[in-house]
Amino acid sequence: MVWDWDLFVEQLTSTGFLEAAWTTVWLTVVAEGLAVALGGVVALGMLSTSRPVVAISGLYVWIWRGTPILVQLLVLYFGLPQIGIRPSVLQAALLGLVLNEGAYIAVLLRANLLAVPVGQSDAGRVLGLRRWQRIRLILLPQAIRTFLPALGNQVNSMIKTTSLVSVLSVQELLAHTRDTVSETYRPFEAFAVATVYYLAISSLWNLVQWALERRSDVTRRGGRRRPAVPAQLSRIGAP
Amino acid sequence: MTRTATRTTPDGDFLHVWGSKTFGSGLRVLDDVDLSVPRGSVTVLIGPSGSGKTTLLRAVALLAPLDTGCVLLDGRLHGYREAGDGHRVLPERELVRARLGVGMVFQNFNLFPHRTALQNVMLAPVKTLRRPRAEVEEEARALLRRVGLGDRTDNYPAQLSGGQQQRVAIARALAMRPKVMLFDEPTSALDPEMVHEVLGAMKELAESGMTMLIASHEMGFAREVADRVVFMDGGRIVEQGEPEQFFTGTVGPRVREFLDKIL
Repeated sequence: MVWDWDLFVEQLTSTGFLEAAWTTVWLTVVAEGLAVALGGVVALGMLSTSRPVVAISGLYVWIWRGTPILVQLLVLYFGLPQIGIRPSVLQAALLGLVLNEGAYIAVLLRANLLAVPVGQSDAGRVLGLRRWQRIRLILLPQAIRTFLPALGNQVNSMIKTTSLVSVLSVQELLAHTRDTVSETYRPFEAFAVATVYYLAISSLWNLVQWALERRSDVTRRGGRRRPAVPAQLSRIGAP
Repeated sequence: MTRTATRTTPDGDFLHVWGSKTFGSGLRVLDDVDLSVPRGSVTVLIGPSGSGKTTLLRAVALLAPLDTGCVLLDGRLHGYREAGDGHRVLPERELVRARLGVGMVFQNFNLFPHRTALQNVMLAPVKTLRRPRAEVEEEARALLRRVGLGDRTDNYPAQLSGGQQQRVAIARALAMRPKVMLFDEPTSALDPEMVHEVLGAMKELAESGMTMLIASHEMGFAREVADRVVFMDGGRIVEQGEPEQFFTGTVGPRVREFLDKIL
């Protein structure tokens, strides 16, 4: 028999795959969450008025965007013990994902901060707002709104990037799939199950992203109170 | 409006800006200008695009400080300190506070799109003057009523017309209780039918005794409201005088040529 439906369904509903999928989900959420925090700090660092801070932020982004994440993961897990630091498999995996993703988030956030019209900053300045107040109260809320679609993309990508930590034998979806194959010698069914889970997870994320973007849409929020928003005015910052 | 009672300089010198500024490209955008605005008066700056009107306003607002010269406001150095035989602009950290005496309204309104009209007006008094929120809200509502937007407090900028947005911007600047209000071509981004509502708010403000410096080509408004018209060209103040002068023709050829184009 070429394709075994019973085996497919059995594996699809097995606790092993469910647990592995859950590992993929929480790795994605935790790594992306920490990466956004790290990337936010680095983005502000890149826009800092202090040259050393700009240099350090730039150096970090340069190194982590310029090398393969697979290499970074291997260096963290196998290289660090050489200098006396022994991270657990999970620690190395998370650290690798966060440091890599943080560099991309930093660049994205920086771009979105710079894309806020310069007049917004001028308005804040004549109102006596300090630099940090302008960033926090005026620039960041607008930058985050335009950053959300890009973040959606990043999370989507992260769901699949977590499969790389299988090289450190973290039991996420890919590692579990390969273990299953080596037991059953039926790769097609097992990888089909993994495919279904990956698609399910990213579809779930698409829904979350849709809700987030909807919530952050300022005109739509106001529109509930006063529905008549002329189409040409419904884009933020258009005038 | 509350006004400071102390009068340390003669009225002719309530706001006094003089000096020069050169951009990085080597362009001399302000070339030895010298402008005085008496307390409670309205001065309208006219001149072709690139003549330095906006740069002069931005210098007074301390957004783009002068290279040489300085700004005096209400008898005090405004954003500058004495340095040798001249003046030097304060470091950014201190400029933040210095800017508070001057309100500015921009050509493109520059309202904060993620905040409602009321929140736009309330933001700075709460965050920079640290005044109690309830008191600020009451005053903000009153200011929005004053510019005719009492029923639009909860609207986001994108839900307001250009004229309404600009009036919110005026209220937002007034909420900081400035000594001087600057207007940088406040009506040039507006559809014609919305121009008058903004000019109306500005006229009301002028009648209340606010000191105003306005870059604008609304000559009808200048004729009706301004105490003084200043013509700039190539970074210089070429001519200044009472509005009637600019209409009855007793002006130089360069001004005449410009007026013929816009009138």
